Amino acid sequence: MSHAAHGDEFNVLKFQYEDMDQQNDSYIVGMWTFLVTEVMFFGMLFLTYSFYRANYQNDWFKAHGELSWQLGGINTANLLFSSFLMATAVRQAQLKNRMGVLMRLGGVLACAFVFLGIKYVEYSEKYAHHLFPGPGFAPEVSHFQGANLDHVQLFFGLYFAMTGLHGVHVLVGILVIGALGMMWFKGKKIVTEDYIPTELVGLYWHFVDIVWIFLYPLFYLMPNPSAGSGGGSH
Amino acid sequence: MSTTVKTEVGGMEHFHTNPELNYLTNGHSIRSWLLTEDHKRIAMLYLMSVTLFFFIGGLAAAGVRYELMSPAGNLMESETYNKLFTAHGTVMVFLFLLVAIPAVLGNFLIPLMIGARDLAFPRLNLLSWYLYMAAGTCIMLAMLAGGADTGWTFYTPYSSMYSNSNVSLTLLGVFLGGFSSITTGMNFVITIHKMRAPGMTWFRLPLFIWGHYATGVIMLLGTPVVAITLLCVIFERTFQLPIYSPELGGDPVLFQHMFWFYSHPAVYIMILPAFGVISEIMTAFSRKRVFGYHMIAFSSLAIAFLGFLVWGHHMFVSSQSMYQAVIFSLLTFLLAVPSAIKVWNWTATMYKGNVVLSSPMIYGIGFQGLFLVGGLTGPFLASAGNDVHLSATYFVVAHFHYVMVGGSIMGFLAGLHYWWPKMTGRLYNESIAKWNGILVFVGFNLTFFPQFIVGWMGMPRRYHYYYFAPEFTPYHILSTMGSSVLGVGFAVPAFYLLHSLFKGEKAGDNPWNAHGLEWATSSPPPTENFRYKVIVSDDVYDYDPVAEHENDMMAAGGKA
Amino acid sequence: MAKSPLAAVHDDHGGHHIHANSMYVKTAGILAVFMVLTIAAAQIDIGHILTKPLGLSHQVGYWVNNVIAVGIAGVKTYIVVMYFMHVKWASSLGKLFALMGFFFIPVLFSVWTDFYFRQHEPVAHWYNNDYVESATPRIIGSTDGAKINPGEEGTQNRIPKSVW
Repeated sequence: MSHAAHGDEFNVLKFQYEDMDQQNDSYIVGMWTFLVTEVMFFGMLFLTYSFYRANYQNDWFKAHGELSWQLGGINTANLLFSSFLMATAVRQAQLKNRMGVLMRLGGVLACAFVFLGIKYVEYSEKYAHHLFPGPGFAPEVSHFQGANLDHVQLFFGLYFAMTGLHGVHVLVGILVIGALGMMWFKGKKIVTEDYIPTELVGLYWHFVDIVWIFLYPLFYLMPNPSAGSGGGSH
Repeated sequence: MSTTVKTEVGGMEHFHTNPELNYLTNGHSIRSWLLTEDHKRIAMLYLMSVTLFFFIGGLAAAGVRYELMSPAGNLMESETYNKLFTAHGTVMVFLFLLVAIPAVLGNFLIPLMIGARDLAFPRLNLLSWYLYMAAGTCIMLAMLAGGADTGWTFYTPYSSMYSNSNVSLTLLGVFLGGFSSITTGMNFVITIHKMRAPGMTWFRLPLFIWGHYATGVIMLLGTPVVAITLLCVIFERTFQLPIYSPELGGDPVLFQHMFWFYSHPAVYIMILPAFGVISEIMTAFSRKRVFGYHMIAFSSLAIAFLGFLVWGHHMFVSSQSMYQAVIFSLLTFLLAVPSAIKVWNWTATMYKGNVVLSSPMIYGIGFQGLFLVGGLTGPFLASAGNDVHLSATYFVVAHFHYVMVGGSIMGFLAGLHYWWPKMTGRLYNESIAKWNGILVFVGFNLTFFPQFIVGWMGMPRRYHYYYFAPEFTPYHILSTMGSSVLGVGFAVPAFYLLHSLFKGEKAGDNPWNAHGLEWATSSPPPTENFRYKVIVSDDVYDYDPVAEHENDMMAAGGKA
Repeated sequence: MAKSPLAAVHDDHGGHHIHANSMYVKTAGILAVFMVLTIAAAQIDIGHILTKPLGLSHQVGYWVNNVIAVGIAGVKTYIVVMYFMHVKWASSLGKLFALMGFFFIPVLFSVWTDFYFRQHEPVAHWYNNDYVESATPRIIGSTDGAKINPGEEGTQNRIPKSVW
């Protein structure tokens, strides 16, 4: 019999489910349906990107020189490491090792803050160079080697939209992971008795990593579309 | 009549409910309603808010219709007219049609029909109502602040660059409404997959569930695309982040692609649940198992999938490649097949059935007639060449109103009448309901049939006057007269249904003598839906007309 | 039914796999290798390499570069989804929904067929660069005359028809 909600006894099984298998699978598949919507959400932006990129290859190649592939690379490694920490945090949650989970979640949070810090450096640099689209868009023309500045503006429009929305997802991730860490810290039974909440947050965080896996090569590592220039992208 | 196995079990202690209480009487405080996680109460919250928005959208429609009574356009300014039809479209599509059947009837009935205690994620369900209300608030605030004038399609670059109306706030409302829709879709899909009672196999599911499953999948896959597309328009308006800006080399047609990639499947979000409702009603009031159960079930999925491949037929005249238009035209014709399968099967269900003309059936038959006209005018518009003439005329307006109002709203009314005794435990006045069903049908045809003719003659959509063609006037006057009749037809149910809440006869558990798990529990259902453990052992729609007939004969013989 | 849900969790250790730490370390290692690969591949101008010895168009190499970049990202995604997100051990329903989004991305990308077909239209298409002359100034927040004429190579940005 399931335990009624009296005393300090905690009921992991929600009333609408019959057993833990049903509940766990519902939660995990439910999270995946949410991630499906996220895939479609970013998919539309990637479609827009692919379309403009294919049409304005040269201009976009010249525009992407303003982005620092080193900073982007650091962030890629950073997110990859945080993803790894998150995966092991879920493992610790399965083992019900409270300290292990807390340390790893702390690590994930640190990585997320570093990510946003680097993003801040990148954004403020772009802003200082008047690369934010709109009326304030007034870049050094010489930086773009004769590229059509309208198309450069489109590039930065999508750059800010896509990395910005990704950044919002990182921010939400920080909030969610923070809340989860708080619950582990307080030893709330909803997380300590059942690893599923930690796993769900993990799924979200891995998805944020996946988006960046695509954003990084597409924005920071463009190959040169025009012949004769030789050299790499830098 | 149902052979559902009932086993008394424990595990219900967490409900702490008195067996005398049902979901309506279990808690009377406002808090017990606003913070409820009970899918039935959330459905009732949705019912109230949806009705409110329906009447607001209806008022805007009335304004549009009265303006078009005269060719001179002298009732209001052009700008006001633009804002009125935008308000009508936005409210009706995003706050009523997309929500009405799934969030009210679907929310209420899905757990009941599959024998579950609740949806898989009750708290998410409550969140979806709050998101919906936030969406409604944004759209209403935008209307009060002056309204948007872009039409409900928000085409760029007008919406992103030129319009000086409250587009951003309206878009934010639509964006939030999208998330409400996504959470509802997630809940439905997972619930139908994971929460079915033992013995409730996929092919024992009522067709209502199949319709909502297909709807849920569309909500999941389509809605985020339009959400991000509209978010990009907000970015473009507020931060001037160029996404679709043609003056910079961006492509506004991309917006149209992305908008219709969702908004065409959204049409199926509106109509598939109505198909589910009609399937239930046709079989229950023909006293016969639905004809071609599997075909109807699979045609729902086929519509959901094909619906994602036909969005381009909205863009035949908006600089889409003409070769692409040929492909989309063909795919659109294909879509007629699963829709026709459904209509044929309902007709075949009625054929030689013991048809009972009760009020839900009147609305249901009305649905079939109107949907047939709406559906058959689809191929006119699907032919790319023909569409060059018909695009953006009143022919299109009439076509989608036949499908949306004649299909979705008639389906909603039919479903509301069918399950009202289950939802409230009361019977409404059956003869008023029947006559009202006929009134709605007549008023509807009077409103929208003249629009086919005037559209064919060339009356453009979204025009505020037509002094250049005074010969259109009689059709517009007919249409406006019809809309008044229709308005009455939509208002009357509000009165007799509300009246039934207080004065209505008590409905038994199964007033229609219908088959299905939702009729096996009490009316209104208890908070935990079933007071026993549900194990399903019989087929869906297990009507036995022969046995029923014999029973009737026996009863008649006994009396003689 | 008879056992407590808590007991169910304890009994269930076989049900949800607890993987060895080494699995996660290996996965992260492979992902790191791919990350280095993707950076390295981007530094090589494959178009430049292919043009001279093989006589291929530079554009071909450009697309090889792109396919490598996106391909590596795809492989990394697969690894993250399968191992970090445990889809490899998920129920078949979980697998279905995990794949559904990625399956629908190609459907979304079928919008591309329109832009492909447009290049073969007998009428002028949108990227003919004539919009620069005909552009109307923005009403909300005009660009204050900051509009800069397209560069010399503006017209060279069109996709060569041979490739498309």
